[in-house]
Amino acid sequence: MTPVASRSGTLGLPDLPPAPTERGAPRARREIAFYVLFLLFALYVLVPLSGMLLFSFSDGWIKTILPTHYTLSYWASALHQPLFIPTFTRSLIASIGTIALSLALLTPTLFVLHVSMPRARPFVEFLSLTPFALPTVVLALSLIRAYSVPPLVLTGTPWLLILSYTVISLPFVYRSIDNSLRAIDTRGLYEAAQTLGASRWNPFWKIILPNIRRGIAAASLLVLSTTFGEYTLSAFLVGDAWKTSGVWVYTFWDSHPHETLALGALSFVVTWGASLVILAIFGRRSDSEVGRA
Amino acid sequence: MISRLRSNLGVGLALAPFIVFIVLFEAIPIVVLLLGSIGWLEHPTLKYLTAVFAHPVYRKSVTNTLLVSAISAVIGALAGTAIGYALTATRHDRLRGALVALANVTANSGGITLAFAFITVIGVTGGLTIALKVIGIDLYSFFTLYSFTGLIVVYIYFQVPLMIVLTLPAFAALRLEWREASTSLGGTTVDFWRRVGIPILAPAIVAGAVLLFASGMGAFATALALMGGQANVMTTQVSVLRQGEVIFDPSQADALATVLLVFVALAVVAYHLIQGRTLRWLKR
Repeated sequence: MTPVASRSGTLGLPDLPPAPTERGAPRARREIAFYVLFLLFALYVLVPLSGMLLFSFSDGWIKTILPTHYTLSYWASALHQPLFIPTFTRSLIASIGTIALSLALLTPTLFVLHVSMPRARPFVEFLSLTPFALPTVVLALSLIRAYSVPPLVLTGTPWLLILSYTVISLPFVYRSIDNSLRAIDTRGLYEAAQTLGASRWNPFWKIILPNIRRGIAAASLLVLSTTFGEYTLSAFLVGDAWKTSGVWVYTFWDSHPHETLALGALSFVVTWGASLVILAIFGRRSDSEVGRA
Repeated sequence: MISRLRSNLGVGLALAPFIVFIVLFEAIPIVVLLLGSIGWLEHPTLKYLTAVFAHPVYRKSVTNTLLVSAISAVIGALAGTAIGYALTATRHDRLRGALVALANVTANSGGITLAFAFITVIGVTGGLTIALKVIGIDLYSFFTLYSFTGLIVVYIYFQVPLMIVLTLPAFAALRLEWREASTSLGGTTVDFWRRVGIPILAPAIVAGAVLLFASGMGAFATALALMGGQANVMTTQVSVLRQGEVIFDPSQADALATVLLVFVALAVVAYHLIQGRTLRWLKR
């Protein structure tokens, strides 16, 4: 796509302005090519979502380009389903439990690594980031094998679901917390506090945690957006014993497609809302802060 | 001070919960899964693992998985790279910000809701399908969403943004000075890309594609929601064997999951090997 634009002959030119490398027509043509790419990308991403939203509000969309009638009745019906409140509450409980557990696991660990054993960091990093590629079906099956038989039977309980969500959340939480700890010079702050006579964990609570609260917020929202309404682990590990919104919405599709789409749109709103809040928190600083595994 | 903390038991105690968690909920379960795949829990046999490649249905699921993931990874990587480059090079800062945000948000999407969204748009009675029919194009005469082509169309939805997120840092690392150095030595744009740009970016792009490949192999909910049991890929086959009412064969499910895990592990190793080459450029 890059048009050939020679710029030879600039030898010896002093400091050029940073951004543009070519000027005039080729440059403009290139920008137009970019806009075409951007438009295609935005359409690909936004059309299915708007379709879902439109469908959940529409009635009699059979032969025309756009729906002929709009209605709120499917949303009303979806929100009045007897299973709506319990399943969405369970999903929220699972997400919040996961946020608490993953933060409790990684924040002190990473603090200690930054302060006193930086050389062990690659090891913890490797362990934390690996679940990113682990297929959820494989994780589900191995957890069923390990925890459906005595001595420890956890299948069918919310505990196993939260534990499994924590495994898949490790990469996101690790990235956010590690970036924040790196950004504030954790070791320097800790040593300063020690020089002033602080105890071992006092600086962690009083200085480090307040300073990385944005990283903690980002981690929490990333976990919320990846676990809320999750289907695979829910279906395998707890199923009907502790039905979450993802499992319920899936079984609801065949009989009530419009309502399912309303609920799907609602889940998307939660997920996107969470992600946009993260970007609002971090967008100004650096993209790596919001980075994925 | 620091040494006091290091020598202290506190360090070990602080790391212990994390290590215990990994051992209990990642290491042990995976070992148990591997053991299950060789029937060690009942009596040892290799028949489940060999069946993955010998039994026509399972073998087909393996080739389907590899094919669908490879095609969607290549398309996703190419499109993601092009858009990632455009985002780095464009002069329109606000547009860049908005689209990077969009990529960040959608890279996390996927699952059944996404499949349903696609069904409403390009399913048999989807909005776009109907709209095309109104203007005289019968989409379903040459395409169906409930197929491997459809699966690829949906996978690309989260793979393109993922690729953008993965490659943006590499594009940002392409130094302007290199471009200028190339130009002042008389190089054209083509020269720059052929001799400098592509060789430096190639590892990041290939590594990204490998990660997309791994994510495609692991995708389950999307395939299930689109094609139900009809989608013969490894993840859905595992689910049929583990939860099915017709066939229930947990050991065979373990064996399929083990093979899937090995594929993904190989992809991750490849990713790290290739990524190691990129890191040299990303670190100043």
